Amino acid sequence: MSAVRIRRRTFRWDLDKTYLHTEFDSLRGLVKIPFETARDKIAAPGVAPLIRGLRASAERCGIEVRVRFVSGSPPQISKAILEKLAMDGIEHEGVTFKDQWSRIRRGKFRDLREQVGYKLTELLRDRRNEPVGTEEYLFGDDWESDPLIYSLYADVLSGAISADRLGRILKALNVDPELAVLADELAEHLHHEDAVRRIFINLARKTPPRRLDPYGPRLVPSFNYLQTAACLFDTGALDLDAIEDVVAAMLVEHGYDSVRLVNSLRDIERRNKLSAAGASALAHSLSRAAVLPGADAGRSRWKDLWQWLRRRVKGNALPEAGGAADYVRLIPALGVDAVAASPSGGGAG
Amino acid sequence: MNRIPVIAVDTMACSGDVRAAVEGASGVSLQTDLQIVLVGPAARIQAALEETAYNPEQIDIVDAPDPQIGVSDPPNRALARSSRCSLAVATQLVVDRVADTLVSAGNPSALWQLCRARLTLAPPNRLASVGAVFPRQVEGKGVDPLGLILDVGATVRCEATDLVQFARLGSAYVSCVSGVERPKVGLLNMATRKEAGGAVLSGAYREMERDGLLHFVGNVEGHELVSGQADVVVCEGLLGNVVLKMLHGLADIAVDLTGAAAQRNWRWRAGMAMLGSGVERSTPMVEYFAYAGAPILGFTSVPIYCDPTSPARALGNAIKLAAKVRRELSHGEGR
Repeated sequence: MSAVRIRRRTFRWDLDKTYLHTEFDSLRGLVKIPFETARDKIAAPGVAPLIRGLRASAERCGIEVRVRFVSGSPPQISKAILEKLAMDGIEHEGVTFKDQWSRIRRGKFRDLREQVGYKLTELLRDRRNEPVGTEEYLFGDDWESDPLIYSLYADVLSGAISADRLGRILKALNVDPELAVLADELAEHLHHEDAVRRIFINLARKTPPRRLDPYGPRLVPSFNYLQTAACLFDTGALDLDAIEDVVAAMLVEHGYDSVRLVNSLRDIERRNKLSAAGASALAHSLSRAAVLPGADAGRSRWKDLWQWLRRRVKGNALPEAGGAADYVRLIPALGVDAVAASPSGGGAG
Repeated sequence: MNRIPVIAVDTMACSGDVRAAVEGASGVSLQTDLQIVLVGPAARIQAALEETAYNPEQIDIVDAPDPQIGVSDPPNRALARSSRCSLAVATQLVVDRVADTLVSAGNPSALWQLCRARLTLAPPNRLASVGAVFPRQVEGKGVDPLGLILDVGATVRCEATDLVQFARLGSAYVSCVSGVERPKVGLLNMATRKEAGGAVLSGAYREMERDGLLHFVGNVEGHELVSGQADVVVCEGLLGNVVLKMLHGLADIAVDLTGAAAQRNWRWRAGMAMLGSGVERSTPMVEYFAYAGAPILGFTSVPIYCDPTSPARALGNAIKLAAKVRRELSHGEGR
């Protein structure tokens, strides 16, 4: 991590399939969305304590925190979403919804399903409000184009992608030319800094993690929020108490057992997304694991985990992020179609 | 509440390729709640895993660094040389009760030797037996198109009481897997007469006839094997092994003949194309050994072995089969 003192830490979250377990993959689920109340909405296991923990961990270190949500859902369903966030005890600094009506009024029907231009411009626009030195963590899912959008944003922000190159990439992605021009303008006026520490992609549709390798080591595909929490702990953004809260929520509220959690941690470590030092410290904490039930099998697995992690302490530093991905070349390989990215016709994101 | 079964999977088929087992297990992790322990070279398993869709909460990896035993390797010597091969490590996981049972598409002789040496016989069994599935004619929907023959290699010769014990094991297994309440059990013999086949077979006939637990249908001759007369066919290992390999050979001949004929004549080729979907549907019957696993019966757990050429789907089915048997055994113990 940078030696420069961090003044602010911003966490940018997608909503559907990242925070919320939204069912827009079936027609039935899609039809239900506008009629759902806050109580009908289901948060992903462990996500709420994770966000609360991220804020608390930063504030304990005297770092100012912003939690921002950018959603592809229309503002018409904002009431239920805002109530749900309040119910979960999530303090946030705003939720951006996609104004579909204004797009319809302007005859921009193509933009209804467009995600890349919409989200990228919203991210760049909001970055203007951040003081220099603000570090960012981005959270999305593998349902639409979040890996691409977030990586592009991080590279534009760091200056790894010039405005000219951004224009070419957005054209190749078939982004609405008006949005592409806006993105260029916003990018030009940015203070370039390598601010995005990690991009977490929730593998809601169980995309094989290797498929996201082209985005580089900055992007972490994770199968659940314990894996995400472990990596955040590793970067120093989350403290051990917060991880225990995530574990407790997954065990008590979501029916997980210790074997499933240990398997998750082993998986993220095998994928080299945890440094040896982070894994070791995490094992220290979890071996105390008062949050775990007293099942014998569970206990032996945790002990096993601890011993196994201890053996890994030698070396194994986390790889540093390299240069920008070759997006233009990635587009056909990734099968990304910006306009057709959303199966729900823009109802989610 | 029943514990979720933990299945150890020997990922190294005789070819040394882990992909089929990893893909099969990955699929199962997304469809079921089973816990799967993939055993083999950890780095290769992890690499294969990351290429597939999987649920990491249900998959663990245990490293087995030694080279796998080839299909033609003599098992004793190979096991001494590769004591930490995936097959040996997977078996040890069952012995250590880390896993409830194992699935392997490795060398069947080596698997049998490891089971015999390390697993515990379930009382009152005196011997364990190796089962195999074979295709058969069935009438009506929902009837399992595969029958079970045992023993196919664990024994050479055995006593009448052993054959009766095989019959009970086979009957219990088929009842558990196919849901048939009282599976039909036949004794493989050279004639249908009660006295045929010598003292061992006629003695086994008499005991099975009297056994109230069995639905014994009498002797089954070779040509009746595939006619669906019995769900379970019992025989000595020597005979069972010969029968099984002959069935494999016949299946190979059928595939070769069809392919060769189609190559020789365009009319045949056109005919084959027209029969495309029908041929596809009958493939599992010809290549049945690559679509299902078979059990090793008599121990406290029921290892499932698969043909070394089994595709991912077959290995996935074998994992589900192993779990189903494990759950039934737990129910039985609970009762």
